Amino acid sequence: MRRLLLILVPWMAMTAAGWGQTRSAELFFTYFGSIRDHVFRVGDDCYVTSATLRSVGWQVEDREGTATVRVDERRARVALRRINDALMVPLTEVLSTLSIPAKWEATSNTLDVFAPLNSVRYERGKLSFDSALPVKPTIKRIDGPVRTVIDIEGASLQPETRMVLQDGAKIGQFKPNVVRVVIPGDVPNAVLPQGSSVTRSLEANLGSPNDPPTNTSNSNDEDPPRGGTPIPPIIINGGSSSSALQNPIANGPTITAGPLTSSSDGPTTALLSLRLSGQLSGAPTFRRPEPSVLEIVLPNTKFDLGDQAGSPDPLSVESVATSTEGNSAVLRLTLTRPMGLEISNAPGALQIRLLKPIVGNGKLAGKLVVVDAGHGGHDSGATTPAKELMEKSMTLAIAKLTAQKLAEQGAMVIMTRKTDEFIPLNERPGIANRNNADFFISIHINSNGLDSRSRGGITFYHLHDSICQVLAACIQSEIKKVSGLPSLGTWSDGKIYNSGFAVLRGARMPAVLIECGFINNAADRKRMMTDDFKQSIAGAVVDGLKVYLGEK
Amino acid sequence: MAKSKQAPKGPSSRAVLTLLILGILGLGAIAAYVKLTPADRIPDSLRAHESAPTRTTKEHTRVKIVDPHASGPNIDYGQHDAPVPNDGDAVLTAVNGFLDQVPSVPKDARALSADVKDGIAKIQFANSFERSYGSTDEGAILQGLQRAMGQFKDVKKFYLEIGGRAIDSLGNVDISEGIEVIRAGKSAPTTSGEAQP
Repeated sequence: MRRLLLILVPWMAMTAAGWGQTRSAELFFTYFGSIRDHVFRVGDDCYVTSATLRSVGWQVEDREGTATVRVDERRARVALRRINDALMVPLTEVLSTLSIPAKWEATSNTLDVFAPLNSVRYERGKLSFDSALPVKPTIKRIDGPVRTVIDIEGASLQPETRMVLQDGAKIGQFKPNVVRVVIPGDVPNAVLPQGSSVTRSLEANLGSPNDPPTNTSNSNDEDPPRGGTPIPPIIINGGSSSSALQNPIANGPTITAGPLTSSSDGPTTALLSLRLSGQLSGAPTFRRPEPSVLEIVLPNTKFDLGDQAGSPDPLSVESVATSTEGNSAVLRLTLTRPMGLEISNAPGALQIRLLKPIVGNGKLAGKLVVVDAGHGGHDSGATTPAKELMEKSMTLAIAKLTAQKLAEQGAMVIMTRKTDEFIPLNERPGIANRNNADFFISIHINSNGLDSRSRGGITFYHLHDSICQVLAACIQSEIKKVSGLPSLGTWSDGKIYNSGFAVLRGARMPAVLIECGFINNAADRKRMMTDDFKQSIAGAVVDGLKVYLGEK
Repeated sequence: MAKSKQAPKGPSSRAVLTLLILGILGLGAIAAYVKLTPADRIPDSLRAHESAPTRTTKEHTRVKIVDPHASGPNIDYGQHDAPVPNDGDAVLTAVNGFLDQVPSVPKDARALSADVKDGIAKIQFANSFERSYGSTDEGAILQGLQRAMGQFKDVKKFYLEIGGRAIDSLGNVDISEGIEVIRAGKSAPTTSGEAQP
């Protein structure tokens, strides 16, 4: 008897632990909403039945203890687990395999699964989006003032979501599972394409505000556009006075920002403090529409600067302006010259540190610039398939012209190479460091074999270096004016790889790497082969340095 | 004699039964605690997934193939499942499966062998793999490989090699000191604090 009990104890323990680990849970799935039947949580894993997955439109095949889950063209194969005498599918493992984010709510056993939006565009009356899971878009008009609203139910905005919004269109996370796009003004007869009531991607020509739509199309191959009666828009009259355009996002509380005060303004830094009535619901971001203009975007915030707007306090700031974008507040600082920016949170305030580049006498003449022609020798860099065009030759031609134009302005120039020779990556910034150069400029040509439609120029800076970002912005701003190619702006080299580019990492002075255009794009290639392009890039580098120095 | 031998049995049995009851009560208490305590309060260090036993790359019968998708210069990554061929190597299946989807990588630029030791993988490539790329291509290749290798829990870092010599760079990035893997669910390389255009 005693032996029998001793044998049973481990089994009892395992049964008890298993019972303790498993609990009923809730699944909140895109536009389907709450699903509670046969949903279990074990640790951080969520288990559901195959039937549950089929009910949300997924294909599931159970065979020999494994399940193959198909979502469109993607597939995940996972081992089934027996829970409460039923075979269950490990949903979190499936989602991880399919790269679909999921998160347990902090205070409940609810797993939120929303369709991450890959991209959203509204340009010239055309709305398009692409998401990782099917979503449910609807369109409606709201009065007072009139605006057209597209709600994408089941979707969530991600930090990686690519957004291009023109004509005053705004976007926000209206509800946890609803993304709202707001177009100011009335778009008469705007409808979504037939068959797009549930879709992963959509392209709809809505027409510009007060312009009639021309046609509609749906990019979903499984659900092509068909003839028939268009879906009538839902009209909501007498909407509340809180404008959906000004306040399209109901995600988190709105806090008040202001006043903006200056605590110091020295030769290298200026410190500003923006008082906040509470905690920001998300990280502030900034953008630089012009080299000397900084825009700080504060989520879920409204301004109360009193009569301060427009009358700057610190000497480094020419003017202060505010605006709203959806539920975000935008603080626009026009600076006396291009400066770097660091933002940090302090109790009850946002600290804004303006970093002033050291520019000496502010003249390009007399400055030492190292110009680096990328690649060389056995290292051809990017090439066309037949290798009739090589990056190393193009960069050398542009670098030589840049050096010539810099010298004409009185700058001293060192080129890392003047011929077709190989210089190791670490040696290139080494040349600049040993000569105590003022600037390091590396010239490159890009390539993107995954998408030969990629076009345009990018100026890279190193990781989060604020001063190098300023230099990159100054140069890219000038390149944009003259290159004849699209501008893709300034990028941190951390976006390419976590340690960045070797030549920028090694440089101990303001340094940038310019990717002039894409060699594998026919239009970029044609333009880059012209003398005018090479001259324009060289001239833009000179002008960008002058803007940085405050000379232009 | 018989009586003197049986006498101690009574208290001993009672002690065993008492211990047994206490044990059952203790287990019940543990089960109730686990049941009633939200999983998110359990420290990360104690969670099962952190301490789960790892499998060596040889034991994989299936791997995840990283699928790169480009929209202009922005690259994102999905993945799909694939079997490891009989007598095949999981690392090679994952690496070559990814590289097959990158048009800028020459078709014959294959991973030939892989050796994993002490968390470091050394992957031998055909000679044609060593060349330089534009930065967007280079980033796509490196980040795809980081993700492909991130599925192997016994690999923390890897080197790309040709004939036993580590490749220094594929164009602009210094990879001579090895490449750290990116685990599923972890963030991609850092980007700027500035909103990207």
